[in-house]
This record gives sequence, C-alpha cells and structure tokens, in this order.
Amino acid sequence: MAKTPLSHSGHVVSIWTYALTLIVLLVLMFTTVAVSFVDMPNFLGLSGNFWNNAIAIAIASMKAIFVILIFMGVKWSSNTARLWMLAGFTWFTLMYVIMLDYGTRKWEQPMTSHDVGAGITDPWGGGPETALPREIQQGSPNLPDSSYENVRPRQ
Amino acid sequence: MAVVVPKPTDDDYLVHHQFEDADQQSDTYIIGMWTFLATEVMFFGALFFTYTLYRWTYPMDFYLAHGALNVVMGTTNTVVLLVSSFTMACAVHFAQVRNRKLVIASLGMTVALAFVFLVIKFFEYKEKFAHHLYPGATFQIDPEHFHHGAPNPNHAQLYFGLYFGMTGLHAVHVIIGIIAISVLARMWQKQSRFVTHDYIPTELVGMYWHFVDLVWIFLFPMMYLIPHPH
Repeated sequence: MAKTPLSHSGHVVSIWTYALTLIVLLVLMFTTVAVSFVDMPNFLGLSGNFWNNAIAIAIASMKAIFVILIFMGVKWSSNTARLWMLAGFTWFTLMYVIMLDYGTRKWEQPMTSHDVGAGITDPWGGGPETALPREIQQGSPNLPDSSYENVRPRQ
Repeated sequence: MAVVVPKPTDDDYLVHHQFEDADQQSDTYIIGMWTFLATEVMFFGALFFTYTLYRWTYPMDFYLAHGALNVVMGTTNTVVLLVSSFTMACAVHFAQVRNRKLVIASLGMTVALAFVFLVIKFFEYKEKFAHHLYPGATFQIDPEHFHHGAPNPNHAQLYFGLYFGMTGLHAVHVIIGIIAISVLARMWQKQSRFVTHDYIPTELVGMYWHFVDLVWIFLFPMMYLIPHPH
C-alpha cells in the first residue's frame, strides 16, 4: 500500500498544519463565547451592543477564513476556484444590501389624515382580528405592539 | 472504430479526454463543487438574512428569547463540529498519500463526531418541545426557562421559528453528510478504484463537510450568543 503522494495527488497539506488550524479555530471559538458575556462600552459614538455584534461577526469571519483557506484548500487552489468561492460570498454580501431597504422604511411617508379619514388605521387592513392568532387576542398580557415601523401603510 | 482503452494498473491515473492534464481535471471537479456550495450559500443565506432582519426589528425580544438556549450544549456542538472538520481534512490528506487504513479511520471518526452533534441536538430539541417552545398553537412562554426574562410571545415565535428552521436545515445537511461520508468510507473499505486512484472524491466530500461546519460557525454565535441590546 503506497504511502507517498503521486504526481496527480495535488498539493498535500501536512496533518500538523490542519492541527494548528484546529487549535486556532478552537481558541477563536472560546474567545467569542467569552466576549459574549462581557458588555462592550460605547465607543466612537457607536453603542456597546454594536461593538459586541461587530466583534462576534469579525471572529466568525476569521474562523470562516481559516476553514475556507486551509481545510477547504483554497490557499492552494487555482485562481478560478478562488473566483468561484468569492462569487458565492459576494452574492451573500450583496443580499445584505437589501437591509438598506428596511433601514430606510422610516423615511417613507407616514400615514396621513387622508388615510385616517378613509378609515385605515391598521396597515395590514382587516383589523387586528385577522392578523393575530385567537389565543393571543383572548386576554394575553403580552399583546404585540402596534408600531409598524418597517411596514409601509397599505393604500 | 473501437478505441482501445488500456487497463489501468496500480499507478495509472485516468485523465479524461477533455482535460489537458490531471491538475486541470482535479481543478474542474473542485470548481464544480464550489458551484454547488454557492447554491448552498444561497440556500442558507436567505434564512440568515431573514434572521438578521427580525433580530434587527425586535432586538430585545430576540435577546430575551435566546435565554432559553443552552450555551454549554451549543459550545460543545461547535467544538465537536470543528474537530470533525479536522478529522475530515486528515482523511483527505491520507487519501492523497494513499494510506487506506488511516483514511477509513479518519472518515469513521468524522461520522462518529457528526453523530455526537446530532445526539446533542436531539436533547436540545427535546428540551424545547417539552417547554412548549415550538412555534404554533402549542407555543407558550414559561418565564422560568428564560435566563434573562420573558420575551413577547409573538416575537419569540419568530425567533424560535428561525431557530428550528435554521438549525433543523443544518441538521438535515449533517445527516446528508453522514450518508456521504459513510458511502465514501465503504468505498475505501472495499478498495474501489474510484476512490483509491483519485483523491478528488474524498476532497469533494470533505469540502461539503467543511461547508456544513462553516454554517454552524455562523449559526452558533448568532443564535446562542446574542449580546444585550442597549
């Protein structure tokens, strides 16, 4: 049984490289768990909550980069393979551009007196009875709030 | 006219006629796998986006709802999947150096760790069902199960709908991975020329498995480690 790579075996990565990568990934993982228990302070005008999320995303992205480059072998892959890998994640990033839509909903025209005059008080139309399950309607202390900030009022 | 194809010997490697050389053949297969993984990115990406949107809309309720999750079990699952990625990468290495026994051992270890992941997930789901946290008619908030306080039930249903949807879809991918790795291990065990003469099938299954791990790497902090919104 041959134990040496052949000319067509591609680039062979040593077990030690994989083991080191695993150690790095585990360290990053425990870091992200530890940081999640600490409330970050407000910094540079952005809330502490923003920094907690930013750190979590940054650490997760670093882990992803290690997995993609070393475990999936992209570091030693052809440029075409790298392009294919980037295409998927470019799509992912572009999809998040949709958040610009939701982020700017509040900038839209609010309901006017014309809407109220026409009897439209509920953007979903039909009244709360049609929007909520009956169990919630019947005296639950936790009724949902009626702020439809992200929803454009129906015409 | 019949084409005479020479019988492959132990060290013969078949480069199909449309490829220039072995490297281009291997590269093409890897690109094909990345094409599939791009579709998987889209598959999970849409759910990630939905989660982002609703967490952004109801930050406090999502923070409170995540208090019902067991961070220790989630962390353990993450460790299990990371180590399984390592053992899968080892399997690819041993496939390249053609060490059949260690390939089978590494693949076996990967499958075992994948089962451990599913077992822990089973206990997590069992707890959720027992606490009436499955969205639908039976959904009910019992404040003692939420470490940070009780969330709004409607918004909590959004959170748990996404929790079961995303981790459930991920678990389905883990099951498919277990099947694929088991089939691969069986082929190595039977010394099928398909896997012993070319490391690429092992590499491709490995890429799928690393992708499954990648999804969990993002799912875990997103669902289990939500910071207090302020």
